[in-house]
Amino acid sequence: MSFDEFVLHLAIGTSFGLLLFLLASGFTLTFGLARFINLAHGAVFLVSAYVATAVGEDGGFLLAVLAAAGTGVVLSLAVYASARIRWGRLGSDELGQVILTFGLLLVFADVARSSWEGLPRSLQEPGFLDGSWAIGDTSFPTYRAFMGGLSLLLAFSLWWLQERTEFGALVRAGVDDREMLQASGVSAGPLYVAVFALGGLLAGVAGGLGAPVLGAAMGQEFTILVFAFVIVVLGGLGSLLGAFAASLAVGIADAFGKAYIPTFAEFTMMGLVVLVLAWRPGGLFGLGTR
Amino acid sequence: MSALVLDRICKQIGGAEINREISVQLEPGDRRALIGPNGAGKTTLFNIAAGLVPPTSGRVMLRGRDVTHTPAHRRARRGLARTFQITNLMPALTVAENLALAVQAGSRQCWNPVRPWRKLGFVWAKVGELLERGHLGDVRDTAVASLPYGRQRTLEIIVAVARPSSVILLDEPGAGLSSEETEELMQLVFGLGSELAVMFIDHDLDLCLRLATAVTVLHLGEVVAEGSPGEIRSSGVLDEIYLGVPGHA
Amino acid sequence: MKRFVPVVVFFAALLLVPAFAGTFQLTLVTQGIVWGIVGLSVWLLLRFLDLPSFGHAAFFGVGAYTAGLAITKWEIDNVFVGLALAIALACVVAFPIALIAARLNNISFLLVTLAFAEMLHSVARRWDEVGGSDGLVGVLRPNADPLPSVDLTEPATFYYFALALLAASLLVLWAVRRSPFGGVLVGIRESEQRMAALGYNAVAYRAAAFVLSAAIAGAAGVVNAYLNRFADPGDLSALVSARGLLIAVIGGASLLGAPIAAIALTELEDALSSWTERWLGLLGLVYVLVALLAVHQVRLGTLWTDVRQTVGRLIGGRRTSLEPDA
Repeated sequence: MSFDEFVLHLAIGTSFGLLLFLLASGFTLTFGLARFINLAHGAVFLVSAYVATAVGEDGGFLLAVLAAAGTGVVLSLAVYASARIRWGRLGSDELGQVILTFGLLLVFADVARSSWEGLPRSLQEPGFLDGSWAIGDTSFPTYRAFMGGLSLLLAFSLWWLQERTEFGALVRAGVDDREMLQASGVSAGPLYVAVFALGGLLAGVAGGLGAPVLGAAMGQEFTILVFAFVIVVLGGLGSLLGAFAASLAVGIADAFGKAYIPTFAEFTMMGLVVLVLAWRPGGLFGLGTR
Repeated sequence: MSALVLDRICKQIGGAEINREISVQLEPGDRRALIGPNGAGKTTLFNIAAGLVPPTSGRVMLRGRDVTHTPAHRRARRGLARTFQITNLMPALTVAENLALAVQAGSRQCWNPVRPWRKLGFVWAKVGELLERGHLGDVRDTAVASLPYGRQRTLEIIVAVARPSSVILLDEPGAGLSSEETEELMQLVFGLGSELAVMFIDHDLDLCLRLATAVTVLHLGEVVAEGSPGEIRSSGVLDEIYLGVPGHA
Repeated sequence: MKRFVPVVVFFAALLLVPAFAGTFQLTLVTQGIVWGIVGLSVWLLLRFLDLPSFGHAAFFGVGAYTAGLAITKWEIDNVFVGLALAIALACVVAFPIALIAARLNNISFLLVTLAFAEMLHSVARRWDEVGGSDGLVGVLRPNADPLPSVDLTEPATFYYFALALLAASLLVLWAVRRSPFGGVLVGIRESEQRMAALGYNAVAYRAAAFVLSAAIAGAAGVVNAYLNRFADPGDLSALVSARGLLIAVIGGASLLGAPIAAIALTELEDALSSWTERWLGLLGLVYVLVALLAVHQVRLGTLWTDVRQTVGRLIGGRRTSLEPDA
């Protein structure tokens, strides 16, 4: 492996990892605050990606991503609404949440399957981004740099939101101690709605933003879930910082895996999980152990 | 050789120093009371001694062996037993089953997936003995969750002493019980053997000073006094830390 | 002795199926039995240790592929050897996963098991050695030597083979339930801290239970491969794991719950898929309904009672007040 190739894979992995962070952060936020496992998150990504490809045909890239973002919000809120039907129990019944959201995943995925006949689709990146940068004798697509850069910007906004706004303070308080949050008189309901919506927004943007690179295809609802889960477990459930670090690690491991052991690319991720969890069962920053 | 040595144990959680340079030495036959106001760091110290929580610094020695990084279950195998302040039993299982699990710990038969449990004669015989000792015979087949609180506490103690140990840590054995009931439980433990090293925490100061042979006083995470019950009583340190009254020193 | 009545009735009914069912239905019930065995493997971890595995497709798939490879590539055409080999391989794959997963809390456990299974799924789709996305076809029925005149190509005979395996799985779980090992597992479920304080290595016990449950899932995979005469990446999919988990949950506290739920669910899936192309979406709705209808925590698995209670309540006109804001 030449140095140029090393840098290329690193770049690809980093930009992919940053995109993954958008997805994983939504999942870890909902879990951190509402203690809610949302398996449907993968299908939210899938449907948003498909919507982006559909809108992008005539509406252009920007509209496509916005449509995807909107789809993400709507679907996530639909998940929350379903859970609210029996929130008294589901709020603390993890297995119930798993079954509910898996069911919703199947429903959402089937909507995508019937709307687009189960065929994969792609989205054209904006014209000014369809070049590539030379790295020695390899080249790095400009769009991937844009994708990574925008994801980084959004990640930073998320950090700012969590650390520097009142909303973020409430979320952090809620993550740390839900009972205190209730005792302080803040109604958890609207906060949860906001967090679900935010998670959905990020997943939708990820679907739209990633579409020129990943496309939209049946099966993604599961493969993307794997990334999200690995990231969340590695980073520590509920920790955004952990999710960020883990996203980069996973993205990079995946890039090198796909380049050098394409059939067994996932083994790099498995290896990462094994190594990190053997060293720290709680994840890098979190509370994953018993 | 000391039964248990806690050597300059420090524990920091978040920014707070829960335990600061705490050293305690427990000899066989000791009945050491660990007293101090709430928040003094007593239960944390116990958890460190038992292996539930790692210390930030310091060492734990069990019968001369450094067990600072040994997991809790291995310390138990080496002769450390403990009770929990909040009753920690297996609620869905019966009293007898709880005791059986305590009795058979360490036996190869624990791994047996084919033989019926009730056929392990040596286990159930001992269970019968323990049921008598704790006057729990009439509830042997009752689920622990259905037991009244007092009997759960008794079971909590009996379970901890089901197998012979060298060190027993009693964390508020009488939590929620009257002084008489608490004393009864503690005497039960003391009666198990003269070589046993017992360290206990209890809110009833009077009881502690009466039953203990040695006392360690904690305040705000540090050891502020140590000695025999008589020495501690007359030193005025208790007035200082419990009532804020400046003592004579 | 009265306790054995349900078991006797259950097996008596199942033994009679070939007499009344046509080949198609017989195959369907056999498939249901396969899912029942998977459900039991997940049930073991769920009931005894409160561990929800969403990744048992991994071991099911390993079992299926091993059986497939045995026949198509390794010229092992004896069912018992095939079974033994598949179970062994499933255990080998399970062991490293067990060591990690046994340390995790329930949610991480769920996420990690799903992740691992999906990763194996992706590998299977790409690995040409095992057929890639087409999988292994032409998995013929093996012979049953040394059993005399047992022809597994006959649907009824194969059905009884599957039934025997179900009986074996139930027997294993029944034995574990009344064994010291089972008692320790429940103890760990009830209070891991207490058990550790008594000297039990909870991680080791959880890992052992995990490997045992993987072995059972692997056996189910073998039957599946021989039944359908193929093994493909779908055997490693989340859908398989989810089905196992759903069955374990619906199955509840009793051993027979899982196989009964499995056969029912298989019939339902078949009915739905014959009726509409959108059957997966409808199946999803079934999952949603199951989650919403349960009155008690889903993992406690009193679903049948819950459904009766909920329906009763709705009919009776009294609705429970909506739960307070979380």
